[in-house]
Amino acid sequence: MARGKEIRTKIRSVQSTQKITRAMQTVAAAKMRKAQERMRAARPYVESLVGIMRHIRAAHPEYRHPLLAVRPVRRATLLVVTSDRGLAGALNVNVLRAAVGLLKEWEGAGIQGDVAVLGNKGAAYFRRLEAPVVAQLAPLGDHPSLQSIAGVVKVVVDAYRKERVDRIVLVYNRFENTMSQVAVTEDLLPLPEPGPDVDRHRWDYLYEPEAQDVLSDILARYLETRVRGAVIENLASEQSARMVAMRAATDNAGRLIGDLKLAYNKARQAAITQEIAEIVGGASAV
Amino acid sequence: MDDFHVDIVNAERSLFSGDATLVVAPLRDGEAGFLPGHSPLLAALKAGALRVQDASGDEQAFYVSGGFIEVQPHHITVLADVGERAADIDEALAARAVEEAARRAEEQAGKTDYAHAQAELAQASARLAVVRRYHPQIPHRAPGRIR
Repeated sequence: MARGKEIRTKIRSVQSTQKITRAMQTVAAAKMRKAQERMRAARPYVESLVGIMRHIRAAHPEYRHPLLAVRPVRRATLLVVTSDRGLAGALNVNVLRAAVGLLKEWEGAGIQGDVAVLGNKGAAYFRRLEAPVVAQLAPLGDHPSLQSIAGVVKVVVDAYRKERVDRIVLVYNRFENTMSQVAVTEDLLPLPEPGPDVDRHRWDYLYEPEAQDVLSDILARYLETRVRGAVIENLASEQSARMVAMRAATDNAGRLIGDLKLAYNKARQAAITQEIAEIVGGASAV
Repeated sequence: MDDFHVDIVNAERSLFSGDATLVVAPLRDGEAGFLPGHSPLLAALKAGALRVQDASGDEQAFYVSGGFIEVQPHHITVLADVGERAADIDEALAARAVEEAARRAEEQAGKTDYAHAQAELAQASARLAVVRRYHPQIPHRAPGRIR
């Protein structure tokens, strides 16, 4: 019964793995619900703010704010949002592939690219790649605060302000639904292109109190909120992806256990049959 | 076209989305009313009441602690830092919050956090004023009209 025993050990090992993946699935499901709620709550604010930014891009302010400058792109920064932990399916792979693809594209176009990273996975990846990382925040944690993200945002935005970079692109996983998360690249600065709904004529806002104050405040708010929004989306995506990945793992373990049990029973049956055959053979010989 | 589309959002959710014929907002330099067709305007808000009136003359009041308002001829977006419907504010709790804030401001007098405490007191008072004015729950003597 040596073969039978081996299979039994294997079954036990797969069973304990299944227990772990099932626990991780449950934990991810609980975290996912909270993360999705937070994301749904944050979305309207971010979307409204982006809408206003499109209008500001279309306007012709008399006061030239340094963050409103649009320059020919010679240097660009990629702000990559990743998760802290793995075991979340293709989540980080997709984001990093999108990031590296864009960096290569820039290289081909003669644009000097550097990277700012949020999250352990991205930090480790770009360290291995020996890419020029200008700022990073790792680990990100489950509840990243605005203050913790603000540091990285400041480094990147100051570079734009001082004309050391001409474009900042955000890469993260947008949450579509529980089953699907898509790696997206979105421009943070210069401001997003105006949509078709805005007036193409020369116009400017009335500002209350002063153009400089209002624009500075709202731009600072926009940058922080936008990056934080991306982080929140990415967290929701992470938990969803992990739950789906762990459910697949649990199902696969179940299937594996089924197959192993079948193999075990066959082996046991074969051993018994053989034993009977031997006894019968022995009896007839006598 | 003689109405606006108005969106009021705070960092946690969307408070209001719909059409209106008049929006009154608390700008830094005082209240300002906006009618449809207004020139584009971008302004910072201070703590106070934000009112939205629709075509039938119904008015809804909101408390905002600060934030921004963007006015386009047929669209208004309000980004409130903290915002809630006047109807959702508990007057008694709001009154207690004012007392709390006043006490803290007094404690902090002359210290580094004084400005912060003062700002909080101003926000709490504005919030109480909003609920008293637009959604009173406790019968009280109306303050004498200033006129």
